[in-house]
Order: sequence, then C-alpha cells, then structure tokens
Amino acid sequence: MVSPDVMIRLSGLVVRYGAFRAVDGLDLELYRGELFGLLGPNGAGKSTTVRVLIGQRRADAGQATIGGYDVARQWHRVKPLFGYVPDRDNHFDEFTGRRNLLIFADLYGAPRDRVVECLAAVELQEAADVQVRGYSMGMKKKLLLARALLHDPPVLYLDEPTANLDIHSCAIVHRILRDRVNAGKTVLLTTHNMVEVEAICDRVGIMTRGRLIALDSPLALRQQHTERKVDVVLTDGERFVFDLDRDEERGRLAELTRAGKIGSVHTREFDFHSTFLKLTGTEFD
Amino acid sequence: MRWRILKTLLHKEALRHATNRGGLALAGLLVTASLLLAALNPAAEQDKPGALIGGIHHCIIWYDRDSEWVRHLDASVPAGLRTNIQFYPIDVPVGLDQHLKYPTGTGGIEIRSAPGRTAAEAFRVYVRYPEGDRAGMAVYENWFWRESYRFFHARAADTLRARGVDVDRAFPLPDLGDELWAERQAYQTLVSRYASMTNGSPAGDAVPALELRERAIIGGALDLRAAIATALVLFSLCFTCVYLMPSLTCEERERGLLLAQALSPASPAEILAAKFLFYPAFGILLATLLAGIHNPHVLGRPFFWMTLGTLSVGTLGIGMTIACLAKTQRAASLGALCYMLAVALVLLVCQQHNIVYLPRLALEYHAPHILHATLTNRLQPEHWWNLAASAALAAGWAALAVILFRRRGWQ
Repeated sequence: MVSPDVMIRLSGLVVRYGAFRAVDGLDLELYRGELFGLLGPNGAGKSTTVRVLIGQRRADAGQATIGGYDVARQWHRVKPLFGYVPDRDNHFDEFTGRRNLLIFADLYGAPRDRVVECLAAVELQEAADVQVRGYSMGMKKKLLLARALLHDPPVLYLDEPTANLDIHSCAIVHRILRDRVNAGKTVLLTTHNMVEVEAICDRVGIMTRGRLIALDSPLALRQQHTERKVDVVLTDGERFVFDLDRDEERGRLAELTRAGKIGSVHTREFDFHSTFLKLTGTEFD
Repeated sequence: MRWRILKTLLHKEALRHATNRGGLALAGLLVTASLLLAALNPAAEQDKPGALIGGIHHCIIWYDRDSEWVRHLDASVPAGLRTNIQFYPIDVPVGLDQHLKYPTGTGGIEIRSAPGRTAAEAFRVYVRYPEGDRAGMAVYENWFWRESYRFFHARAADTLRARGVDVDRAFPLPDLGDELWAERQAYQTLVSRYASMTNGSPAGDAVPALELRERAIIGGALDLRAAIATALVLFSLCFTCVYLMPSLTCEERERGLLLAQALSPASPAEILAAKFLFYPAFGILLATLLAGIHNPHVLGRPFFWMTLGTLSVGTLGIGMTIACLAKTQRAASLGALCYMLAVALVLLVCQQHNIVYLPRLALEYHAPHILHATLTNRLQPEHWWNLAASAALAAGWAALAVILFRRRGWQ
C-alpha cells in the first residue's frame, strides 16, 4: 500500500551494465514536501538511479513510480511531473539566456511571463539578453535551474546543483529549493557537498556499490554514527589521538593529565562529512 | 504531433541556422556563384548550343554486323583511349537513318551496312557528335580512319599479292599523318587505287566503299554552365541534409541539448519530425533559389519540383543514417565528407572503367542527370527512369534511416 504522501517510489530497482550491478535492489520512498539528498562515492549508483527516474535508462528489474505513474510504462504522464538540472550545462550557447528559456517555455506551454519570473528567481535578469556562451559556469548552472522551474513541476531532480556557484548564488539556490519544499514539492538532489546536505536536506540516503546503506535525516545519521575522539599534544611536542569510548585510552589520557604532560587537548567536532566517510568505508586516519 | 511543439522546434532550428555564420557564408557563396554564372551567361545565350563545351568523354562504336574490321578496330584502340571508346552491337531493330541514344557528353561512330546497290560490300559510317562540338570527335575519328585504312590496306595487299603483284613496291602503306581530312582522303584514294590495280573490278571485295554521314546529337553537348548550376543545386541539398543535419544533430546530442528537448513535452517523434521538415525545406529553398537564378523558367516545371522532392528525401535519409551511426559532431562531419568523397570516387572509377550498373545504385548518379535535364529543358523519356530510380533509392535510404533510428535512437 503506497502512502498518498509518497511522490517517488523505487522498489527492488536493479540496473546492470554488463555484469556490473550499478543499482542493486534499491528500495526508496520520497515524500511530498521533502528535500532528499542522495549521496555516495563515485560509482555508487546515484546518477544511474536518477537516469532511471528521468527515463533515460530502463531498469533491469524493479519499478520506479512518480506520483503513482510508472516511469517505464506511463512515461508520457511522468514527463510533465519533473524538472531536471543536469550536472553539466546543456543550453543553446548561441542564444541568449532569455531565448533559451522562451524556447522551453513554448515547449512546456508555460506563459511567457514565467520566463521573467524564473530569470528573476535565479537573479539573471541583467544577463538575460547576453548570449549564453558569455555566461560563467555558475550563471549557466542557475539558468539550468530556471529552465527546470519553468513549468513549476511537482518534482525536481538536481545533479550537483551548487557546483561552481559562489556563496551568494548557493544561498539563492538553497532558498529556491526550500521554498519549493515548503510549497509541497519534492526535491531530489545528488551532491558531494556535505555542508549543503546538512544545511538543507530533510533526509539523506547514502548509497555505495548500488545499495542503500543508510537512510535518515542528517542529524540522526550523525548522532547514530558519532565518535568521541580528542587530539592531544604533549608538552614535548608528541601528538596522540585518544578514543574516549575505549577504557584503556581514557585511562592513559587521565594518567598523562595527572603527570602534567598535556600541552593541549582538542575535541573533534564530528560532522556529517565524517559520518559519510565512515558509512561508505572510505574513512582514513 | 502537436503543432505548437513542432512550431517551436522549427523556430528553434531556424534560429540556430540564423546564428550559424559559417553556414550562412557558404549559402551566400553558393548564391553568389549562381549569380555570377547567370551574369556571365546572359539568358539570350543560354539556349545557344555549345555555349561552353565540356568535351566528349566517351565515343561509342556501334556496329550492326560483327566482322574482322570491327574486331581489328577493337583490338587496335590505343591505350590512352581504351577507357573512352566502347563497342556495342546494334541489337535493337532501328532503321538505317534512325537515331541511337547517346548520353550527354558522348559521341559515336555508327558502322551500318549500306543497302546493296552492288554485290560488293558497302557501309555507311555515321559520325554522331554532340550539337556544337564537331571538333570533339576529331581524336576518335583520327583513330577510326587510320585503323580502318590499315585494316583494308592489309586485306587489299593480300588480294593483290595473290594476283602476283609486288605489293611492297607497287602498293606500299603510306604515311597517313595526323590530319583528319588527309586520313579520310587517303581512304578514298585507297578505294580508287585498289580498283585501278584490279582493272576496275569492284573494290568492295577487299576495300569496301565507306559512305560518310555526319549528324549532330540534339542536346547531347554538356553545357558547362548548366553542369555547374546542376552541381550547385545538388551541393545545396547535400550540404543541408547530408552535412549540416547530421553535424548539428550530433552536436545537440553531444552537448545534451537533445536530452533537454526529449525531457520536455516534445516527443522523440516530434523532434525527429521537426528535423525532417526543416532541413529538406531549407535545402529545397536554397536549391530553388540557385536553380531559379540559373534559369527562372525551371520553377514552372513539375519535373523540377518532383526532382527536388525526391532528392531531398534521399539526401535526408543519407543524413539521418550518418546521424544515427555517428556518436559525435566530429564523427558526423567527417562521416558526411567521407560519404560524399567515397561516392564521387566510386562514380569516377566506374566511369573510367566503363562499369555500367554499379553507379546506378547511387542516388548521386541519377541526380545530376535529372537535374541537368530539367535545368536545360532537355527532358528525355529515360530521365523519368532516372527519377523513378532516384525515388526508389531515396525510399531505401529513408527506410534505412528509420530502422537505424529505431534501433539506436539518439544513442
């Protein structure tokens, strides 16, 4: 039984490239009004999952539905439901930003005023009549977002949406995404920016080797996988790391403190980045 | 198919071409070339035969009866003319004065048995030359008269030797020289000399009388200006459909533009239909402009429009096939150039080696024939066959493109 709040549902999704299983039995539900971050190291299966959702790759097994419609079988119904921001720009470089949006607005049947609104939303009004080949990487990225918003889709997929963006532009994108989520839309983003994930995502799923290995809010994941370690520098300059969850290391630190050999102690702030590294098995000491 | 989507996609294609300076420059050059061609060839002179003659690239030797003479001629073709001279028996029932068919830019020598006035052998030799290019046959006629003289002189010498004549002294082989009139004259001298040496017996028993008749082939000359105009029109279709279309389509695919369009409400069929409508229309527009500059009357001929329609479908099929096979814009551009060069090479090699049937499998073989015929208003019944063959080949290319597209899609 699918909850009416479920917007995207992946069940038993399998995608193979030859003998390699890029996605290996993925089960995932994304809700309306949710900003979901799909994370994982390179080759984990994130992009393949998105390719299935945008109809560019057929699943070898399992099913993907958006708004209750099967992506493979009801593609014509699925198509108007989403907007897609790819990781690399795909604009008509010889046209202006405005012309690019006008073409897609005409394809979507969106009113022309919507072009002005979307340009304003990503703060590209001043560059609207400049050829896209003169845009910076960040401007092109923002234009991609404006294009994806033209038809006000209930679902938005974003692949590395803030790569190459300055801090101000990142804030604009984050605001737009949060506004959409507040309006009950669903946003799925894939990113390697852990700070961004912690800042804006409601839930995250961490994939590795095609499987979902963790699924929860960033805060909950951090709490579940936190570690207590301190960096200690002795008075003679020697450095140590003590794991406070281990009795013997805790006792050794106490001895050094009593002997007056501690020069300085720094507690480690365990962030989401470390959680990610720990979960995906790519942590290094 | 939704007209709103199609209109947007067609508008997009038009805008893309409007910003493509290279394409515009090339189209401008084609129009300039056509204008110059028209300016240098005023309309009053266009119908004058042989305004610019491209020469006679092939000479056909027709014969109604196989004989030692014909075999001697066949065996004695100089190496330099071997690919230019072709021998064919007249195996269709035609009257003595009826015309045989000659392709544009070819001439011929027809050897036909003359009606029997006497018991002796007699032939009519028809020299057929493209209208306005009598001189173009000189090289072939030189060879023909010289070798005919040698053959019949040897035959006469054998007869005389049998009669006890000291042939080496009384009947030597003279130096024929290189002058055509001298060679012809020499043959007449041979006939009379042999007759006198045999005391007036009919010469035909060894040296037959050859009755020379010269006839122009109406419309047989290759008008170089019309040929250039034909090339420009054909190039404009190839340029838009075989070169530009795959190149820009692959560029859209390579840059993810096709994906962006495919994820919009536009269906693949609509994206394809827009391309199928735009490029042939663009090609036909350019071709019509070029043809109209060369000869405005051509625009009123239905055959011209049928030709353009057929060729645009054919070139579009070729272009779509290249677009489906190539993965990148560079591969598509090189693929299109390689295709055009390969076809040109095959046609050239076939022409040089008198390979008749293979070129007929190429759209590019039929296209110049029908375009030239319609541009010069010299339409012959066989041009309808060329058009039918073009239509069949165009349908074949279009079918191949559709099959490849359905199998490989936009990759």
